[in-house]
Amino acid sequence: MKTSVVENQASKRAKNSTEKSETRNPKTQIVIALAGNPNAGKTTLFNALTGLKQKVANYPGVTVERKEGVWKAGENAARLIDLPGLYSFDVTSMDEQIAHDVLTGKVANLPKPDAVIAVVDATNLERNLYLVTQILEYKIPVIVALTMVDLAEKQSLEIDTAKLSKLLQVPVISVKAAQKQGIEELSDAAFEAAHCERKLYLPWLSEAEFLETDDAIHLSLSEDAAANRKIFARYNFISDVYQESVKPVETTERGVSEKIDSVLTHKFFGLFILVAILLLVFQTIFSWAELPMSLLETGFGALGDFAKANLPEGILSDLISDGIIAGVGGVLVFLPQILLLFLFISILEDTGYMSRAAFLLDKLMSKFGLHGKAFLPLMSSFACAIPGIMAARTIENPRDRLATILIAPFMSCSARLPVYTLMIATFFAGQTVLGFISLGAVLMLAMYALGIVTAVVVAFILKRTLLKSPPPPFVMELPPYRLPNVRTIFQNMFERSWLFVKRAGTVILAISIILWALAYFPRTNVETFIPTDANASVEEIQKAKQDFQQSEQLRNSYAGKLGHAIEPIIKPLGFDWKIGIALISSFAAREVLVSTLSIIYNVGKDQNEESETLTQAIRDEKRADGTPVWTPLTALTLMVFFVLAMQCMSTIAIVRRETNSWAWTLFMVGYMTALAYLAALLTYQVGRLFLN
Amino acid sequence: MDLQFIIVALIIVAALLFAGNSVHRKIRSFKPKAGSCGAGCGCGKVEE
Repeated sequence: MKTSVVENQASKRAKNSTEKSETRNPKTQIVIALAGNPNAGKTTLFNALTGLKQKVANYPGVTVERKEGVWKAGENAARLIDLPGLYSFDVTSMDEQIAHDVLTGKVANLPKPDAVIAVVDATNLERNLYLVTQILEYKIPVIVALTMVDLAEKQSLEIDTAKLSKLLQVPVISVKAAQKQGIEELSDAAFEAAHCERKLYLPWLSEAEFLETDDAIHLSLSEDAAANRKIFARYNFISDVYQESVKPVETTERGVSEKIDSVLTHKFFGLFILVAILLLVFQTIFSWAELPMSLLETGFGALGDFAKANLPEGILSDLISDGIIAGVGGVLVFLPQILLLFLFISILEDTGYMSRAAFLLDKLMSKFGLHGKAFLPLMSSFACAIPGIMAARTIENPRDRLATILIAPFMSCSARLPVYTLMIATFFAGQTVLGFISLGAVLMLAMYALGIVTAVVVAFILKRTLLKSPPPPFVMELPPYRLPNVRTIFQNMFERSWLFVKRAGTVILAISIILWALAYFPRTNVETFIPTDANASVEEIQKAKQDFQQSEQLRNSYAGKLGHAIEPIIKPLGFDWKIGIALISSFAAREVLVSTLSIIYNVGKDQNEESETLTQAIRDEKRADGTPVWTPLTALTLMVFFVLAMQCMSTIAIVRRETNSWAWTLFMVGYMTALAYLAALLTYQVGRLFLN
Repeated sequence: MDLQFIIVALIIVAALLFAGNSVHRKIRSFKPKAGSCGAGCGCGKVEE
């Protein structure tokens, strides 16, 4: 084994240090980066070190942008940078580029790190060490944090960390981030290393290969004709290190994960089990959320009545009860379902099942020309399209990346959940399929499936027309199954749900107030009312005046005029002008539909009338001819529209930023809205044929 | 003028300002951030 040691030039280092001190916060002078393979446990370690609550999931590629926090250990403090998960530094995708730029100090307002903690998954030591060899070439002090040691032991792998440390010539610390084990040793080693110069020890490179370009002896496939030989040299070194530091215990039994996978990733049973799990999740969400939702609904209704009864009659009381409480309360009622949805998603992620679902659906997606790496962005989009679209950065081919961005908003995000649930609770509650499966759960699954199928079909068309490119090969990592970590699950659940509550308290509140004002003004003048019955008593005339005010107020309001303006377009979908108002407002954010319906069915109501639940108000809403506005078919049509329409300002903004093109952004908004309209039209018109 | 009306008018103005500010922030996010590569990809790479 050849050994080479290169001393850094002291003067160059001193110059770097001077440059760094200019941009650093004196409280956190040191910058430490966390790097490692996807799913090696970087984000868990990052959270343990900084106390921050980054999203953690048991599937590869959660960290796409770099994340930053302050790591305090005793008197020491450092800026800790969590880099995206990487297999190598060959800079073929955007996340690899970000990590490379951080380590070479090319990122604005971020000095080159003083040390790198290489997070290494003990169960995949050989593969993880490849990245470590590349990090070592960056001439930055390195500390190896060995994670998942307990899992490695279960797989009968015994790792000699002292030996590993000696062979790599860097400190190797075993850590269990979730249990905070090894954190103290890691901080001691990291802060010590950050203050020291590292002598380069790169036995896999020959002297001639120490061509110091800038700050790294980085070798890229595309840069050098001899790159392949160097890659083999790295692997030879890794193989030697592995042989010497790992003692595998002979076993004839297949791992538990492999046994479970033989069933869960089976080409037929796998998909069947996936559908069954999703059905069970939705059914459980509906049944468990029923009680807390009805309590919240009653609570907000009582709060509205209390406000009306105790505030002096007038415009302020109307705003508080019909605008703020009805608008925000209408959305917050769905919090129990959102909490449960994220609870189940977190459990599926943390156990490792989500990767199996990805594996199963990847087979389907690759047949339609979608890149395998598109699965993670699409999966993330089920919570919210924004992180999903950002996760598309892991896709190297720009055409594949664009195709993924353009279809990500089809995945049913959590903002659609209140809309689906409201429709299901109003028209399909308590009904079953085959006697035991809730119709609501089936419809919910159907809406999610409609989004996925449409995404796949659109991708198929895009990949054969505007975005032609051959499908690249893709290797997917299936992490071992593990018992879910309760802390991680609840942390994920509350964080994602908090975003929902935060939106209700900010954006939804503001939109509710504006919508209420649009529905409340201009005021209908009841004095223009002329009683038709000349013999009517004073009470009867008063009652007739109230009815007149109630029916005419919304019709003549600004919102009413907007709704009437689009009524001819939405009439073929079975929607009236009031639903039109809700559709217009929901283009700001989907869940606004619920608050808008709450407001418009409350405005103009008799001051002394008790608040009825939104579901009841929807069922009772009648046209001028006395026929109901809402039917189960109208509800289904609205749900189909919401699956496919592009109704989210934030998503539009992020697509513009990620594609750097207004043309593609407008193309996405246009084609999705057109598709939503056509699908809703088809649903309503074909549905009517069957019902008639 | 009616006190209730003034309060409601102030609340509506505050809501409009908040919504306007949200839209403004969204529009600002369209532009590449300072120090980014200028491609709008958000990769954070400094232009050479």
